[in-house]
Amino acid sequence: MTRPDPNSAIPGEQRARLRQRRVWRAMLLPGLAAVAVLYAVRQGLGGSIYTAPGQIHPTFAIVFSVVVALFALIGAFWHHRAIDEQEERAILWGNTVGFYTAVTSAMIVQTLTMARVIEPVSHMTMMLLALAASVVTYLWHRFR
Amino acid sequence: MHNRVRELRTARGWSQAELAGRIDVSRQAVNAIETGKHDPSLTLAFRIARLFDTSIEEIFDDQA
Repeated sequence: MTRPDPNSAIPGEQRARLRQRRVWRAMLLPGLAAVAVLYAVRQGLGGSIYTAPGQIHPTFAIVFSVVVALFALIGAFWHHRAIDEQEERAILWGNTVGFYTAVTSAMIVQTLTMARVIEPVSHMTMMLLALAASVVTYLWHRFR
Repeated sequence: MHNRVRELRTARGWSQAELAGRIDVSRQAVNAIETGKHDPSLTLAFRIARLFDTSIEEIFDDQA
């Protein structure tokens, strides 16, 4: 990637603001698109895709999955191009902690459920737990 | 890692945002480098050294 000239006539602070805007745009556009898709899905199903009553049509499920994967890919590409190495490292740590949280909690919950110590836990709850661990770690690394 | 980034930056009267814009990283990254919480990559270290017209060894010291 071509780096800007450090001695360019544009003040550094202005370039920093432009850079920050690029990062926000990379995060906000796919986010807004995802919210729009989820809203449309909610209107069509009469509820959230994860709690909607009745069975979801297979064609709908496939199209939904492709759209979500596409938005995620585009968002990841834009975001990767916009961030710097310190944020990249914060994301790597966040993802690592999220991965370990998901694996560990899955093993623990599965074992406890099989032994009938606890009631079965929704996979969405466990995904949210891993996501929360990931976000907290990312924020700590990024802004500590 | 100990470094002289803050010293060199303030000597030029630049804010963290000003330096961040000149080396194409975020202000948070500059702060993390100055406080030793983030060791820059070799590429970024070279960019910082060139900006201050000095060598990497003059700015970063892993034995301090």
